[in-house]
Amino acid sequence: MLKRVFRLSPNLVCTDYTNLRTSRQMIRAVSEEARLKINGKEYRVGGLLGQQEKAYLLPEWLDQFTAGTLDFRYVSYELKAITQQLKWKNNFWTSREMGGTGKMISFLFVPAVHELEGLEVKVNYELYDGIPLIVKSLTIYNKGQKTFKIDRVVNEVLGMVEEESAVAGELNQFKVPQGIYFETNYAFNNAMRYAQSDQTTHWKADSTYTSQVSYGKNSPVLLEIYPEKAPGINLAPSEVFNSVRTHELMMDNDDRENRGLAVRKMYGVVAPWTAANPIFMHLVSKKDDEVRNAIDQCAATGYEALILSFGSNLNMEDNTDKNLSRWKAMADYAHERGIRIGGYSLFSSRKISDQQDVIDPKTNKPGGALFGNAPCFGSVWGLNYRDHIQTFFTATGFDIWENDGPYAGDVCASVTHPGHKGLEDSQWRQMEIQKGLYRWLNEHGVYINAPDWYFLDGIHKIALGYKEANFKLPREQQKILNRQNIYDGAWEKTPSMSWGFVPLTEYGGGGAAATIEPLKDHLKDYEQLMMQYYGAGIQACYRGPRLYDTEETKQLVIRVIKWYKQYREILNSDVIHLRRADGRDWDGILHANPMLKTKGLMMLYNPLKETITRTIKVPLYYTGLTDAAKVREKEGKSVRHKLNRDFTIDLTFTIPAEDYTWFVFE
Amino acid sequence: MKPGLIKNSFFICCLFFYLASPAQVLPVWTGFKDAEKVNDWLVKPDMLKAEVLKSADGRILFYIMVC
Repeated sequence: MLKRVFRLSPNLVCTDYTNLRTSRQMIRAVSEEARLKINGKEYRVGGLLGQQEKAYLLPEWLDQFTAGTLDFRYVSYELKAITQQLKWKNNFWTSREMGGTGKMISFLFVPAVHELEGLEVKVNYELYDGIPLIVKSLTIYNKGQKTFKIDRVVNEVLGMVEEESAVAGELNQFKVPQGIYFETNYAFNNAMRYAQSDQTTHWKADSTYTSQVSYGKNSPVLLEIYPEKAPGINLAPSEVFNSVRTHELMMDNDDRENRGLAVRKMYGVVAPWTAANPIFMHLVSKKDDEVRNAIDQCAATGYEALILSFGSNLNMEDNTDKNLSRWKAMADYAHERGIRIGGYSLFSSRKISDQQDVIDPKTNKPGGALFGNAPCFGSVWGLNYRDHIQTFFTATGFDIWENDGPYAGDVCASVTHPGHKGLEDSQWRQMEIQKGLYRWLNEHGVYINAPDWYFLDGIHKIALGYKEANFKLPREQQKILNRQNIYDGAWEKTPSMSWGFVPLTEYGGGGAAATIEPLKDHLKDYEQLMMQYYGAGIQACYRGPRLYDTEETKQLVIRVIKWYKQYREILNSDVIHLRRADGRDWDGILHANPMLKTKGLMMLYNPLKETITRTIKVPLYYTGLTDAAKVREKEGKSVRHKLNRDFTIDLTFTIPAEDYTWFVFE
Repeated sequence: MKPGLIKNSFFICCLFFYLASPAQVLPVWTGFKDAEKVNDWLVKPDMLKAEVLKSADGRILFYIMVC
């Protein structure tokens, strides 16, 4: 699937990085394996010097290349099986029981200069079975007697082949190389997409590549991976520094579905906990009786979990015995009925005090954070917050944490906070605290909803990608917007990685036209909103005081949940995009999974005020079906369809006005 | 020449090339076969195992290969 070739002498260097399925060579020039800035001075790790022509690399040139005299030198390598990054513990329904397997090779380097004596560097490569994926990371060991200041760790440097050439144009006007998808576990900013959350990928020009078509030498052909705002990390004797983990996934072509599917498969391998997907309700409650009632409703309808939403009668920061005992009793009540229980807690986007908030380096005063004010995770309050959350979960047996306002990368210029030294190390240290908390909870079996890109360090679910203000719009608009959000949110995320939102009661305005309550008066809308989300395999926050208000409503919820559970495996499978909702014609998605007996399930919607009949091409390639498909509408009779040469079938369907239907493929 | 005649001539030329030069058409089929092969790991991932190989001439090869 891929190969990466290294030469060991006179220093270790990568000489070949090829996608074997397409024969595409990724690199045009040798580079160092990594680059470190220590005590203010830059050092290369491995690599060779001397390449003149940098548009391509010929093996016969390698013998003429030399090692840099100040560079870290390769010593040896070690081979072992990949170990899981997290000892994840799962207490919920999941489509995946184990993570990826494979092999890891670590290259050991030692410094060539006296001033770095005591340091050792390991460059680690993990190769995964069944997927063209390499994860590269770097570990620095301080085995000496003095403290080193780590100012920058560039853990991947690649002289990559340009994606396109142009005689003129600035760096950001060029398309960056598309042959490898890069993702690291250092991502945030509340975007709900990795591309916008990424904090480490740097595409640079290479002025030493003189034969490039760009006269200004502006082609983005040099990749460097490092966190921008993480200098000044002290590494004391016997301490170990672990870099960000760079995921490198080979891409075969430019097809959006194909590329997105590859990324979705990657999460199953490196973050398998994200496949867990409990059915939960988002309760708004003021009294404990209301919580117990909601637990009873969950148990009666097949729901599996209850989350006390924001504005409810739960405060996880209260570590008094009285509070812990109260919620322990509630958790016991839920568990006795087979229901998991969780709650909401806000970290960032709030003001604690001038002493505990992040300090803006521009003003040296609180403020300047992504959401205006934010507590510093390294402050006394921030560290206590972490401890209180851990204590709450340990003492009460709660199962789910909905952590709003995850640490969003706010730097802090305070020099009095115990969790960081000053401005320089404030982001890295706060990230460590945030990641540490998520990892601890994950390893204790707690399911984590958190709206920022911390998947690779333990969270399970992120917001789908929606605008909260839209939930005050009329239900008719919400239905179409929700389907657009689902469609757009399923390119790089599996269904279990997202949550949606259904305001049963008013949410930010909109009045009766925007809400589902009273449920019994809006059964058709309630059903369709549930089917849109469950039909996409996505759990929504059904936010309100109850799941049902009458027997008829209760039976509706039971019916939908029963249907969801019947098709749960395929509904949790990857989404193939058919047609995005626009309110002007049909729209729909297809779930595909070649590993299941049910290979595909397609949801189709008719937003029009009239019955429609359409014939569409259904792409079945990713179902694994090759010759023929047995197709049935709902629980009807199966009809055999022969596949076209492009693995599609022509399918005709009819949907009544403002309704939906679904098809099963076997 | 009338526009209709140009259209008809173009169609006939295309048909001629299609019938006279099947090799011109073949790459379309090959393309689909290649696409199927390239995408296979998304459909049949169990076939593939990671291997680290060391070559005799002092290099190390990382290789994800089909078992």
